[in-house]
Amino acid sequence: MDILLVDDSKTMRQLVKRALRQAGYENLQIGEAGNGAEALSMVQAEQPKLVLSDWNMPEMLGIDLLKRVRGQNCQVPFGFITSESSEDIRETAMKEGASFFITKPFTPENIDAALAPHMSK
Amino acid sequence: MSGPTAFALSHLFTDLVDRPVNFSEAKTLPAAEAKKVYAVYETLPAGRPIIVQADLPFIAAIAGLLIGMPANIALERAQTEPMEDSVRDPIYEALNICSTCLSGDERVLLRMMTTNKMKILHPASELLKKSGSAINYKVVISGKDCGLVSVLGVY
Repeated sequence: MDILLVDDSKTMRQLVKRALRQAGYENLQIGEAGNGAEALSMVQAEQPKLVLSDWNMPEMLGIDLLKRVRGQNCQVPFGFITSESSEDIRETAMKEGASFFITKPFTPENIDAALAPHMSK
Repeated sequence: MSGPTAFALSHLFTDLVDRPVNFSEAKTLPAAEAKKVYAVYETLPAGRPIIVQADLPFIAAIAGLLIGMPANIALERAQTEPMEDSVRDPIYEALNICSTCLSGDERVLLRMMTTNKMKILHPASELLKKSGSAINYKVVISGKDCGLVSVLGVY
């Protein structure tokens, strides 16, 4: 798996996948998880090259997912794509080891700029 | 602190659906009211409520654009009780993303979405009683009038 998308909204996962295609990442294998627990087991089992996660999700917040992933000594590039836009949240994410932070609404260009240092097309 | 500007809302929804969405402040309101969707937000850390009250034709059209569904079908599905998940999810996402432009510095979280304003609890329900707390916007998508959006809050 190349990218694991984590969002409780199926619509948002579809929008991100569409933006990834428009940004030129159409040949990548993209997995989807609807919550943090599912994502955690997919990170272990599928070893994606990059994780792209929402922040606000029921059961497990995106930041807690990041901490759990890093707690397993997994250094996979992990980015957020979220409607959270405050500087505090962004700083918390980066302090915990996030690779990038994209604020919704996003464009294919935003996505490409964030992913390009971590992913080949 | 001030409420969201028509420019900020136009920019946000235009970016979201990749179509021209134009908000302009409305000084007079139409006599006939459309069915509405209410989104209740909370600012953090202050705990101040904000409500976005959107005409269903507008928010259904946005949802339709997000998922590639014609506006009339999205509206039909949004009018069912309970609302069909196929349009409920994109409407919720659009209103969730709207949180990014409702308050300058504070964190704003979407707490609930409903078509029944009787389900809105105190303190947010107080905003519905004060007509002076609303900023009303006419919304046009790709040249088509799609109704009103009101933002209610103490700004």
